[in-house]
Amino acid sequence: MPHLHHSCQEQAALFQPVIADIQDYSRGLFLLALEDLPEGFSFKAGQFVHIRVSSSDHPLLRRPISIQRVHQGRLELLIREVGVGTQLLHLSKPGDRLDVLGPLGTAFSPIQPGERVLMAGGGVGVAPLLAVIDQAAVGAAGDLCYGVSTASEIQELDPFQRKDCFFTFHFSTDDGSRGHQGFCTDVARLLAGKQVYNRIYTCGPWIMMQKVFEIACGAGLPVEASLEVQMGCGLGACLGCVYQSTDGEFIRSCIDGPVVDGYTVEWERA
Amino acid sequence: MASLETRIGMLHLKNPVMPASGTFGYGEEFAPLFDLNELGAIVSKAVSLHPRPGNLPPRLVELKSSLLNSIGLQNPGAEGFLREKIPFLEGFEPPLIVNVVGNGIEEYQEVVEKLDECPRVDGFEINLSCPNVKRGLEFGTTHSGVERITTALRQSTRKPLWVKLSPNVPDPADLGKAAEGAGADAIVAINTLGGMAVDIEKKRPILGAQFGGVSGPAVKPVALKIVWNLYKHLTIPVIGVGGIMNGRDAIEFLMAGATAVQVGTANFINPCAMIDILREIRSWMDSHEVGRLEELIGAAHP
Repeated sequence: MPHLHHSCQEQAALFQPVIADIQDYSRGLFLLALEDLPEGFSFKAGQFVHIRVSSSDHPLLRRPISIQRVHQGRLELLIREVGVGTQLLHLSKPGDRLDVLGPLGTAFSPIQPGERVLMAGGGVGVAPLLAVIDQAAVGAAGDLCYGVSTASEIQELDPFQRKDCFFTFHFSTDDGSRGHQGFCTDVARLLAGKQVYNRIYTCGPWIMMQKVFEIACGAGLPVEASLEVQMGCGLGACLGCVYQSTDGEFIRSCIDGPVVDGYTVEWERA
Repeated sequence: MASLETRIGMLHLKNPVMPASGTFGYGEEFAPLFDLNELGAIVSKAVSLHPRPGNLPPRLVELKSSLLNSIGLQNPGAEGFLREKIPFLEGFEPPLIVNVVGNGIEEYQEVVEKLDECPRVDGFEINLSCPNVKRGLEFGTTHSGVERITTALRQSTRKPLWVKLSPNVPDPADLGKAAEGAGADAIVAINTLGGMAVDIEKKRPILGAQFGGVSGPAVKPVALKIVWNLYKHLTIPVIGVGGIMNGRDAIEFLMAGATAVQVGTANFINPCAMIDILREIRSWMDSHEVGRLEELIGAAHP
């Protein structure tokens, strides 16, 4: 089984936080900050919350959103409006309450002092990787290849500039408005060639993560990927969110994931 | 305060709310979120003789006010269930009803006989109607099929035997009569409605298994009518299931003739749905000065 860190569903709570702030970037990307969290709320980088987006019957299911940060009692989520559920979230206003279940799922392996990790995130996929940086041990190191369509999608990164660690951001944009013009995987491929990394982490569109997996294979490195699959309950009960592993098993992305060993994923799919 | 006690044959339940099979796993996932002892009963996910891997993904399609699924009865098999799930379930009090599936009468019998010896198992829900398994439908769609399998299983156990019916038949009440005549203790109605969805870009069905079952609020009127007809034509209790999202929905089922209700899709949206539903039923009864649940059962019938 591709367990990295055992899921912490036993810490999951159902709670109704207040929207404190919504910060808009371009192309439907926004940062949602929630307050009034349960006492002692914490998470491990890579875990997600499952949010009810409507009090009516449509849309019916919750939406799984990776946690970017919990800071000074605020839960921060980076979200892109891609359908009716995320659109409703975007339309909500500061002061509204949301129905949130979490934290759920597996986490990325924490980066230990002296370790160096290569990370590649695309679009909203940077969120759990920023969480990894936020939670890395003092003295940890790494490179985050941060890929978006255009510069205005890039967040304020000051909160993630850690003076006690050694992380470098490498931007890439489709239009060349910031950093490398092209894919973040182009940058990741070059960096991986330096052979200085302990592991690779990735989160983003499937095709991007598939490329990162190939880079990891080429460099002979372990790779952890955060999968995005439509989920039902988010708790491991409905078995609706499974993906097929390389040994043919059906793995629940909510509880055995979303962060899984990239080598157990059947990346080629119809 | 109102009494929510109800009785399904020889089983006394402290309240009428229980999970619909397949939406609650074997309870473990929900235990961190509420006390399973609050439930009227626990109904397990399907158990087959051998482990089943389930269907190819995608397995879920979210529709308007409904959900299409084709999980395909993924389960650890009877031995796996006894070994891995029973120890956990032994920690809770509500009666445990095991949902049973098989590929033929003999397999259903083997599962029931294997589990019958387990003292924690209080009864069986016979899944004759899962649209996700081809052979399930063969038994579940004809009067003689339901009669044959119920008769056979009645010989395999003395524990309560519930028969879960499909809505995908012309006359569900007729199948209910077949089960009753063959010795079933209760009828559970309904399972999901057969359905599908098409990805118009890929020009293919969305579900890996092509077809699935529709559940959720949209199926409630279909389920209510079937429960109504079963109540009218049978003497054994009917357990109502289909799109119950809140206490008012549950009361509709009780008034249509259900002696107890199962909550399914709502568990995915609100993991504490069953607890909320119980509280809502209780407060409705209190505000309407209904002292006992049985006053509601069948109350909508003239």
